[in-house]
Amino acid sequence: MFRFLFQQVLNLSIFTMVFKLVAPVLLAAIGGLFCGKVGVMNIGLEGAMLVSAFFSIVVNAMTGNWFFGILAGCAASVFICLMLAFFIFKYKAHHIVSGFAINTFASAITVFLLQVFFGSSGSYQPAGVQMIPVVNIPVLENIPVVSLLSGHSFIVWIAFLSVILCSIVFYKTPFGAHLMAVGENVQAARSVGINDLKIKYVAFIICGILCGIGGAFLSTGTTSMFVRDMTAGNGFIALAVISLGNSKPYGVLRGGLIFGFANAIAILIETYPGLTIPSQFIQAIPYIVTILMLSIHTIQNNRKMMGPVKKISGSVNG
Amino acid sequence: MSTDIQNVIEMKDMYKIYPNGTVANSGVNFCAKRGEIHALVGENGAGKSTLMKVLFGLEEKTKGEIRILGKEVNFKSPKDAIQNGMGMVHQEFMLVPSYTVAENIALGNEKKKKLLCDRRSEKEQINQISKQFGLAVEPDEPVYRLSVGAKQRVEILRVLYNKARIIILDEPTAVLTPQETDELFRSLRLMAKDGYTIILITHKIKEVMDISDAVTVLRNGKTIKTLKTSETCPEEITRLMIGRQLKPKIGRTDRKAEELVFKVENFNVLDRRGVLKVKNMSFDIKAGEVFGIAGVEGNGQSELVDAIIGFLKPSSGKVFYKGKDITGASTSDFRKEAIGYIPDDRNLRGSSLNQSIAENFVICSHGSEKFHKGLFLKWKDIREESKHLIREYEIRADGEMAPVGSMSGGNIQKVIVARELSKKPDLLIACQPTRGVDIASIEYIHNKIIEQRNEGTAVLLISAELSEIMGLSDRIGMLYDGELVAIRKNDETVTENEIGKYILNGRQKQKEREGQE
Repeated sequence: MFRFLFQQVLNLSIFTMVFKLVAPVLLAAIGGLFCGKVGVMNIGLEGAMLVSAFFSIVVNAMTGNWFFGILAGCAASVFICLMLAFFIFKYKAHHIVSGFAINTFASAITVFLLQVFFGSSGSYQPAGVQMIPVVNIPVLENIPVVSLLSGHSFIVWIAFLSVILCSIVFYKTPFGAHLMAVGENVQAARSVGINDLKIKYVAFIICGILCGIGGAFLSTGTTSMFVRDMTAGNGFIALAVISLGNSKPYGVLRGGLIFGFANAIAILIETYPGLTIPSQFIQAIPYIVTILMLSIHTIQNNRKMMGPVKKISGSVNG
Repeated sequence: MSTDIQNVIEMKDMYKIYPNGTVANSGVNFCAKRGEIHALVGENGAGKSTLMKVLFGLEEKTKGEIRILGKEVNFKSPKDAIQNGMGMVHQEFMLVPSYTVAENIALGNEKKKKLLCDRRSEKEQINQISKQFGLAVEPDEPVYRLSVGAKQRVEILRVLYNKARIIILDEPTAVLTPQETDELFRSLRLMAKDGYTIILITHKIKEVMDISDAVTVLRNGKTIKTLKTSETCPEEITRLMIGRQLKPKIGRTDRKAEELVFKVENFNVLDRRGVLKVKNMSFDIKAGEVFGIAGVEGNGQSELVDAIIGFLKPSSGKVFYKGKDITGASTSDFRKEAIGYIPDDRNLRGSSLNQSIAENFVICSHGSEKFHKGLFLKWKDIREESKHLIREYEIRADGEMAPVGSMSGGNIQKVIVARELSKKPDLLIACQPTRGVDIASIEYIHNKIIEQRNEGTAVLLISAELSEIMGLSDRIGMLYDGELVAIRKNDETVTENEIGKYILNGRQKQKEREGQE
C-alpha cells in the first residue's frame, strides 16, 4: 500500500488532487482571514460556500456559462456574508451564534429550493453545465516536474493568487493597515478618523466573494452537480486552517496544504484495491490530522508565550 | 496662519447634556491663544474631558459655539477635527500594539506610492519631527515593546505627523516618571515656541504652575475662571477647583511603634512567565507604622503583593502576620484575617462594576454573621450599613443600590477604601491607593490612611507617586528591579531627588549599601 502511495507522489498525480482539495478551503480561509482581521471569527464560511455552490450551478445550467455561474454564486455568498455582518454590527448579535444561524439557514434554503424547483431532496445534476476550465500551459505540460504547474482548474490559480494578494493587501497597502488596526484596537482606528464600520463591511464583502468562488468550484469545478450540504465541513476546516496559519496569509497556505495532503492520501488509500480497513476510519484521517496539527500548534504557541522572556536589564552584580 | 487672530480656539457657552440626563457641561467658556500652553484643570467630573471630546468631534455638543481661527465649526467626527489641524493625545493610548512605531504614527494618513504604502518617506518625516521636538523613538520597533513614556511620544508624534497645530493632551503625566515628565515638558515648550497651541488637561497643580501660560478652571461643568499662570498661585487654583480650601492634613502622631504586625523574609517571587520579579526581599512593619515602597511601576510591586495575598506562590521566603506564618495562604484565608487590601486596579480587582455599592461593600464579608442568616443575605442590614458608609466616607452616589460603574473613579476608590477600612484592619495593604483620583478624594483617602495608622494599624503602602510615599510613610523602602535597594527613615532630610536616584538606578547604589552593612 505504501508503495502505491509513494508512486502517486512520484508521478505527481497526487498534487493535482491536493490542489483540487485545497482550493476551496484556501479561498474560504483567506476570506475568513479578512473577517478575522477585523475581529470577527466568521463561522458562516460554510453557509456562504454552500449557497454559492447551489446558485452557481443553477445559473451555470441556465446560461451555459461558467463565469456567470461564479458571478451568481459570489452574489449569493456576498449576500449571506452581508446578512451576517448586519446581524453582528448593526444588531450586535453574537458572532458565533449568528454564524451558526447563517449556516443552518444556508443548508435549509438550498434544500428547500432544490425541492421546490427541481423536485429533489438530495442532489441536483442538470444538463448543460459548463465546467470551470482547466488551464493547460502549452510548453510546460511536456517538461517533467514543471508539468506540475499545468492542468489545474482556473480556480486553483485564483486560490493561490488570493494568498499572495491577501498578503500584499494586509502588509503593503493603507487599506490593509486600517483593516488590521480595526481588528486589533478599534478605538485607535477611530481616533485617527478611520471609518471602522465601513472597513468591517468591506472585509465581509471580500470574504463573500472568496467563499463564493470556493463554493462555485465545489459544484461546477470538481463535479457538475449539487448535493445537499456538499461543503461538508470545508468552511470549518478553513477556520482551523486560519488558526494553524497564525492568522497570516502564508501560514494559511501552509495549513491548507497540510490538510490537502492528508485528504488526498485518505482518498488514495480508500481507492486502493483489497483494503480491509473500514472506509470511515480512512475518511477521518484529514480531520484527525487537522486536530493533531491544531493541538501541536496550540501547545507550541503557549510555550512561546509562557517561556522565559529575554531579560532587558543587566545582572544585579554587573 | 495670520497672527492677527488672537484666539485660535474659542468655545462660547458650551452645553453638553447626555441622553441619560447627565449634565457634563453647562455654560463653559474657553479660549486659547496661538503658541500658548493652556492648562484645563478641574476635579474628576468637572467636565474637562467632555469639553475636549466635543472640541475634537468625539461627542456632539448640545448647545454652544466653537470657533477655530475665528471660523465657526461643528465637528461630527475626529476626522473633521484632524483635517482642521487638531490633534488629541488620549489618556488611554490609541495605539495598535503589534504595529511598528512608524505604522502607528502614519495610521489613517499613510503616504502612498501608487497603491501601496510608502513606508520610507513616512519614516523620513517621522525622524525629522522627532529630532525637531526631542521626541526620541525607534520607528521600526513594535509598539507593544515600548515603555509607557515611549508610547506617549508615539502618540504625540502622530499628532504632529498629521499636521495638527492645536494639540490636546489628556492627563499626559499620569503615567510618567518624574524624569519622563520633564522630558515631555521640554518637548511641549519647544512646540509652543514653534507656534503650536497646547491644551493640557490635568489636575496636578504643580504641573500647571510648572509649564502653563494660562489656566482655565472648571467646576461642576462650568468655567470658574481663566487666569494667567504668572499671576496666580497654587492655593488659588486649588480653591477655585474644589470650591473650598483643602482641609489641613491630619498629622502623624508620634507613637512608639512596638508590636511587630507584619514581616516578609527573604522573599523571592517568579511571575507567570517564570521571570524572577521579587528578589530576596525582607522588611517588617510594626503596629502604627506606614511602610512605603517607592518604585517605578513594573519593578516587582504587583508580584510582591500577589504573592502576599495568595494570587502567586513565592518560590522561597516567608510571610508572617502577627507572628503566624501565612506563607502561601489562599486568598480566602487571607481575607478572613483583619487585613485590608486596596488593589491597584480598582476596576479589575477592586470592585465589581455592574454590582451595586451595597453589594460591593459586603463582597468580602458575605460569610460574616452580620450580613447573612442561614442561606439568605440580610439585605436590610446590608443597606443600612451601606448608607452609613456612604455618609461616613462622603461618597457621591445615587443611593446604595446604584451600580459602582456609574460613579467617577474617585468615588469608586472611596467605596473600596470604605470597605477595607470598615473592617478595622490590623494590617492594611494599599497599592496605588490614589491613582487617577481627584484632589479632594486623594486628600480624603490620605487622611483616612493616616487616621488608621494613628489608631495602630500597620500599613504597607505601595505607590509610584513619590509625594504620596513621602507624605504618608514612616519608613521608605526603595524598590528597583525587584530589590529593596535601601530602607530609610522618612524624616526631613529625605528629598524626592534622593529617592528618585535609588529607584531609577538602584544598581549603582548597591555597592554603597553593601558598604554600610
